[in-house]
Amino acid sequence: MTDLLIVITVVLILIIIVQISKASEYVSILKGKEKAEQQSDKVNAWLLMAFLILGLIGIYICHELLKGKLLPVAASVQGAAIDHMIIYTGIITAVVFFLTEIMLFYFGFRYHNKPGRKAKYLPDNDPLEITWTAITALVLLILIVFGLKEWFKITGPAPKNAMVVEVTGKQFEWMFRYPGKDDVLGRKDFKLIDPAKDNPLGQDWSDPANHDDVVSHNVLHLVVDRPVRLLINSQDVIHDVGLPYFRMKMDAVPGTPTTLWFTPTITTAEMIKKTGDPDFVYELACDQLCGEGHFTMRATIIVETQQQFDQWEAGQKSQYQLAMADLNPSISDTTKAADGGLPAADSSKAKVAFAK
Amino acid sequence: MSNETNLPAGEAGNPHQEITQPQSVAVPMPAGHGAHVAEGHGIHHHEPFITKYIFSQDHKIISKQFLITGIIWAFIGGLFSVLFRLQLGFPNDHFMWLHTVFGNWAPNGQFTPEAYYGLVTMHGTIMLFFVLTAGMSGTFANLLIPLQLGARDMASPFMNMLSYWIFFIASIIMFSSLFVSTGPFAGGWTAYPPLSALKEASPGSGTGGDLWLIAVFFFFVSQIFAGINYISTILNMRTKGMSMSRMPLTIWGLLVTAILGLLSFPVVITGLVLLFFDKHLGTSFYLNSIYVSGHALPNVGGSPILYQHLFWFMGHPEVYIVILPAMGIASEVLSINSRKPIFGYRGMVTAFFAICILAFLVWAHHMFVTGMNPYLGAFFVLLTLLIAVPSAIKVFNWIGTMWKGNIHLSVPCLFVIGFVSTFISGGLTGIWMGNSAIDLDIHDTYFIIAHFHLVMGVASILGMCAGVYHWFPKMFGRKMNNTLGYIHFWITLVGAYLIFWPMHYEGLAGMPRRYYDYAAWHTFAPFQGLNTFISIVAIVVFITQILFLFNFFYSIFKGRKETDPNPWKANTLEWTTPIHPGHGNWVGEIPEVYRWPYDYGKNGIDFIPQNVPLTPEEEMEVIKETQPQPA
Amino acid sequence: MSDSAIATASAAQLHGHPQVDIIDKETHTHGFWRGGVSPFNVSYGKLMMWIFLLSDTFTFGAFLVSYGSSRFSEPFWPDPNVAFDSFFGIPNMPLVSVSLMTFILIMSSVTMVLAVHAGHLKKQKEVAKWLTFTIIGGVLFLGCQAFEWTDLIMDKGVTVTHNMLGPIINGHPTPGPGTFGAFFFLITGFHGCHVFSGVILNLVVLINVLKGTYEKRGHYEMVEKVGLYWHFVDLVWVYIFTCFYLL
Repeated sequence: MTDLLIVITVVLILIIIVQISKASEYVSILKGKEKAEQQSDKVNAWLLMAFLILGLIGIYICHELLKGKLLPVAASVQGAAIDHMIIYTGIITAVVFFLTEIMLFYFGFRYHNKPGRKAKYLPDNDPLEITWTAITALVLLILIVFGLKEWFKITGPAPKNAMVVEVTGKQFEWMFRYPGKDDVLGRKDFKLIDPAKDNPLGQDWSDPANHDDVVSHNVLHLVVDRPVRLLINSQDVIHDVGLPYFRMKMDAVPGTPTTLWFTPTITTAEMIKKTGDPDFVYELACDQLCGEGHFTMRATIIVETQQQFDQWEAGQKSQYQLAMADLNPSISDTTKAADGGLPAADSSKAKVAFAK
Repeated sequence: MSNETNLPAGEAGNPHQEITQPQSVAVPMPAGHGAHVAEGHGIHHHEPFITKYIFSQDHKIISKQFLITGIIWAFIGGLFSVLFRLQLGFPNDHFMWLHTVFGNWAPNGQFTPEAYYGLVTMHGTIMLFFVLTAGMSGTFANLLIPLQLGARDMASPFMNMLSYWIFFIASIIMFSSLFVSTGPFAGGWTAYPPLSALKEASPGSGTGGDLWLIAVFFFFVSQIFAGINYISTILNMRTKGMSMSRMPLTIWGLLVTAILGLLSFPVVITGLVLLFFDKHLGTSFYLNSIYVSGHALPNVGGSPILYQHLFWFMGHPEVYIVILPAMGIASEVLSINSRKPIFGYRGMVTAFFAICILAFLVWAHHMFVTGMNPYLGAFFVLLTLLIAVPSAIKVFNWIGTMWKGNIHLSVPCLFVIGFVSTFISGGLTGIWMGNSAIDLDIHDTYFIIAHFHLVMGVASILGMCAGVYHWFPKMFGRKMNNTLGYIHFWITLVGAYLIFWPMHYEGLAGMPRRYYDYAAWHTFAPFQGLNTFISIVAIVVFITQILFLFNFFYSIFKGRKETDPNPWKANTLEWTTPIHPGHGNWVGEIPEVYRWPYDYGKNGIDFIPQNVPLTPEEEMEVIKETQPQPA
Repeated sequence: MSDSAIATASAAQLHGHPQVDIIDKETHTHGFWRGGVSPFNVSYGKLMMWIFLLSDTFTFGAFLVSYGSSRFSEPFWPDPNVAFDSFFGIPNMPLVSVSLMTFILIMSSVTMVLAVHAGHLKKQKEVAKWLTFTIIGGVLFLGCQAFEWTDLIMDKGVTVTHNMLGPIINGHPTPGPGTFGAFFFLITGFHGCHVFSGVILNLVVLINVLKGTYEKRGHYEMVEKVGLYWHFVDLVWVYIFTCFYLL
């Protein structure tokens, strides 16, 4: 019923607008073309001015309302540098924005059609044009130089002490693999993928490097102040590892692994204090359309101290152990006991539950 | 190429004759045609309806066909955006009428994610390809190239007609894809494989995706045909005295647009062909090591990134294809309404060419986060930021044109001011994301949505509206209602800023684009209130466009008749034709051109049309300028 | 602006001519771009063909670049001397068949040149004769291509998805990169489509030549246009030949 009322109201308003417009058109004919034009020019000139002033106020209000919802301080070394770039790029573009927009609307207002006003015949002015072209180019060159400096720092090789985590995206879940004690990620092959046999990544069990690799679902553990190098893969379509709090992003491309490294600087606990939000959690978002569940591809990141991380890792079963438990029921029983009675076949779900 | 042989026999003409007198043989003039034109009606009484209005070879009719098809598509595309904004704005509400209208797309009065992504994909495809490429170039290139250059018609009117009808077929196929049981294509307008190649990954990539591919393929073919025609006409069919440096900027814009399309569309066609092979012949151009819906695919060796290169080689020029005609229209309309020559004509033309070349060299800035070689990325950063220079020159020149003018704030002029404003707002943020390091943060967030909607979506729609209001009297011999035009403009401009300005903040907060629901996200859920606000504004703006639709269609039949052949007091040649020009445009001889199109306010004269010969004083000036100075 | 142009302009003034047109009518130095004439001194039809061919260059260019990028990302690529070693069923004749095909296509370009030349001289019968040879060349080329495809598919086990020309390990052939066959069939097939439509176009023009259409029209420009297309198709083949058979 309210829907119908809304529709009727809208239609009525439209009809009224149309009728008024038609009537005003007749009025303008009566007034004569010249006079009607001058009048509407005057009205619109003032509207341009009003739009400019209200617009500037609106920008201020919008900023006041929304600045609190922006992200907290960047939680990585690289993110802080990017924030810095955003700020000075923002200042430069804001100056240009205000200058040009104010001139645009002010000129529209100031030089609107009036009886007796003569336009100035001014086809060009070479020195002026060359000057503003040169200044624009110069400013952009400065931005390019600073931008590329950061770009090469960020995309350069990761430090030697960086920990390595393999990230794998699939519809619609994130999986993280840690190399374990040997610091080596074992071989894998997409043809070996079999979630039912507890091998969601297609790890090759004949490679001993795989035996201590720990896999977690939808939760990524990172160590504060220790660079981390993500090896990013996808099993099906293109996903994207979006890390808004660290100001980082990298596509997960099937068949073509990509990498990304950064240094987290604030632990989750510290961030909770900083934001005053007890529910604060670092989120990892998929940023590349990957199907109907794209918006559910959420993972959380726990940034912790090395000690906490080691503790967590020690408490994890390697994927190899889980898979072997599947094959051998006798081991499976012990796993069940260790896992708190959850059936081994459901272990991937179990881990999700654990993660939550 | 078969079209070459299909041309009417008389049309090929004697090549030698054509060189000396291109106009006289370019278009076969039906016998008795001139007499009707002379009456000022220009109506072919003897021509049957079907060849006059449907399969017409008259560039003016084809232009109207493109415009009306474009407007219909714009309405559909706009409606789709309102529909998916309903989901974003009111994720918890159930609108039962949605189920009544859309059936399975909205089972509980709420769109399913698949339908939502279908709407998003269709909105992008329709707006970018059908409205802002075919609708924009198709309308204004067809209308203005012959009229402003002094040609009787396009170089090949037959091919021109063909290009519209191929586009029409594309439209039909695209429209039919909405009714497929597995839903329309839902992989985004960029159609990245493997998502677009595997129906296991997204149901829309099945039949819906096939229809999408075929429709887009036909669309590109139609635009290549059209582009060949535009370029040949501009190069070969200019009237006497219409040197390249005397062409209006609209024509320059359309020329560069046609060149961009001609050289970039074939590349994306190859990309789409490879995709089609991957979908149906089991090839592995884009597919490699995929495990989807419980089994591993046999494909190895391909690279999804290859598609992205082929796509964006078209995709980036495409955004200039969308904006350049609007830039041309803006320059022309702004100069006429300021009663002042366009400031820096040479700078404007140079900027067009700079954009044309750079547009082909920046495509990979859409791919900074695909793991590309950082040195390659640096190359694209450099060129991407440099392309801001010609754009900035244009903005400064428009503002310079307004300075000390006598600005008639007519409806088209306001739309141009709106165009420049949104072009600045959206363009400046391009400098942010063009810098690859910043792009790492804001790539694929709402910041991008805000950027490209302002700079290329809203700006070119405003430019297109300016063109429609400005040339409506030429197209239909009637006027549109001014008051409705003003209302349309102000609500659209204010609405556009209310919708897209706050999105920058969402983007800076990392809010990803193409999400169906943000409720589960700790970071993004606080923006729900803002999303609702944006959706409400979007609905209001959409309803305002109905006013424009009404104004447009009503005025075609019932608008006030135009009595002045040159209502805007403009200099260009289209206003020297009768109010209702017939096929062939001019009665008798085509006017000769003696001057550039921007002699407004020169020597105290309000305007001097291009076909007015130079006065003796002006001649002396020209001779002085061209004479080598004595040492 | 050259001196003579100013002279023309001044002369016009002296004669009291109201319309000073700064076109140098004698030398055409600036004249072609001044409007009213074609800047390239060609009819719009030929210009459109040139523009279309430019566009089509980008289609083939994109295909070949994609092929290149795919090929260089593969560790192994079949040796053309092994893949194309059959001459109409006779083995161990590497690249003979494709050399013959290339020769046929180049010869058909030569006959096309002769047809265009005859067209300039308005010799109807000559045009018809050389066009016929060109068509025969095109058909022969397509025939050879059909043989080659058959050999690859039936004997060598190369299809758009499979490729049995992989590295030989312990004397046994293993599967090679699937994209080899995919790109080969796609690109040569696409070129074959061009040749085929060229043959059809040539046929249409030939019929018109025989009917005397161009004789009536007074010129054989249509032959020139299909000629441009034919040379383009030939030129593209040279690149495809290089990319697939030589490298």
